[in-house]
Amino acid sequence: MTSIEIINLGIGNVDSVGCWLESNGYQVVLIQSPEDSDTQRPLVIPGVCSTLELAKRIIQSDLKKVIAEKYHLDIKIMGICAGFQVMGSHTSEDGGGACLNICSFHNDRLRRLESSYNRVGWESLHLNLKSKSLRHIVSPNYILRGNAFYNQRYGVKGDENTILKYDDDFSAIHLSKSFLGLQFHPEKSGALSKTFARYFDEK
Amino acid sequence: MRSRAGLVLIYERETLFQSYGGSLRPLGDFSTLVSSLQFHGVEELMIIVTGDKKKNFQLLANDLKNTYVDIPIVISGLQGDILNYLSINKSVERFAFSSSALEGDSQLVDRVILDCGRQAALALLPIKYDKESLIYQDLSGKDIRITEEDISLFFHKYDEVIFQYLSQTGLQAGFDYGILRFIPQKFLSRSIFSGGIVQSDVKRLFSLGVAAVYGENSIMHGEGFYEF
Repeated sequence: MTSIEIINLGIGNVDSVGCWLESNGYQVVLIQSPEDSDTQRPLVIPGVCSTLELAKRIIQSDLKKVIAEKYHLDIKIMGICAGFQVMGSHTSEDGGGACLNICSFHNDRLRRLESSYNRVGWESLHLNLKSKSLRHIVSPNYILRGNAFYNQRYGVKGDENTILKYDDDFSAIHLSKSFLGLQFHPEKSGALSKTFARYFDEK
Repeated sequence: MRSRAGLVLIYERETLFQSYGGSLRPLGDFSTLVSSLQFHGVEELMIIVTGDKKKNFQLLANDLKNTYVDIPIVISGLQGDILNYLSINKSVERFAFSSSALEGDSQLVDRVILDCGRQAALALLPIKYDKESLIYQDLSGKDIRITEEDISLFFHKYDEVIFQYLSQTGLQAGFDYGILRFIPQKFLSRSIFSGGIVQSDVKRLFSLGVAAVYGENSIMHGEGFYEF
């Protein structure tokens, strides 16, 4: 049985994510400090929290070096919502501040023209994963279809590592090395939940 | 972003209840319920915890650790208690505040916003209305008028506001659209409506661009209550 680590720093829907992984056949290891972690184990950084607060707690707990090491070793990391955003350089949430600066993107308030807005609810996800860069995530010709649940006020602008983005140019799925950043909540996306849990199975 | 279809349930002593015709009808335990949600097209679940809060929040936290629910969960019934919040906060996605929203007891609300982000905090307003305004009905039965300024403040503080029309709750009476004239159009996309919702209301409210509707009764009496 594959073991997967989840960052557990007192915020975020850690137990929801744990339940999702266990229901898909994985063993869950909650980590609060570098001593709890095994370098070779895949990692999930959960969301449902303030990105700035999450960044502060990861830095204070010394888990930043765990994440950075896994990232550079190409160990699979899944960042969900704030857990995706926290990997960037900084966020404008809660007055703004530094994030983990492992990836080069940053996190901004969702904005279309001059208006800010929220993205809360379900959106269709249609994605043909034929591109070469995705073959180490899932099998070629694999097609994702379904509804994904979003709950966001802030987001990451699309860049060269964005796999799927919206008409507002914010990123829904990001891939750099083996870090898969998901702006939606795979653990709360109904039938689509099983599909994204398979990320940890694929070679 | 399309409108969402949710379900309101009440949790006490490891049992989920629905409001039905003015009383509570037990639906069973968590695992029984979860297996049937998909058939009904439920996209989010609001659970109101009642009774012995300390005990029931702990029991609910245990249920949620043992039963995977693949749709988002909104929790109500915290009433400002930080320990109850801490027992449940890792298993749910959003928090709905009722008395705290109106009575200015915002310590826990502020904590939720700090920990979980502003998108996690909702106001839950049990209401009725008359010719002049919406009226908030608190637990003691006291009526408090809600002004247009109050409504603006709720939407400033909370990500979304749930308007729960109490006198229709648990009935198949249909939604009372008179409520809508007190809610500015610009806030409809962040408003959730509950209370007597029947199938035709789902379509009509969706067409108005509301954030969500929450059913609490008819939903469990036939498959595919929510049709898109």
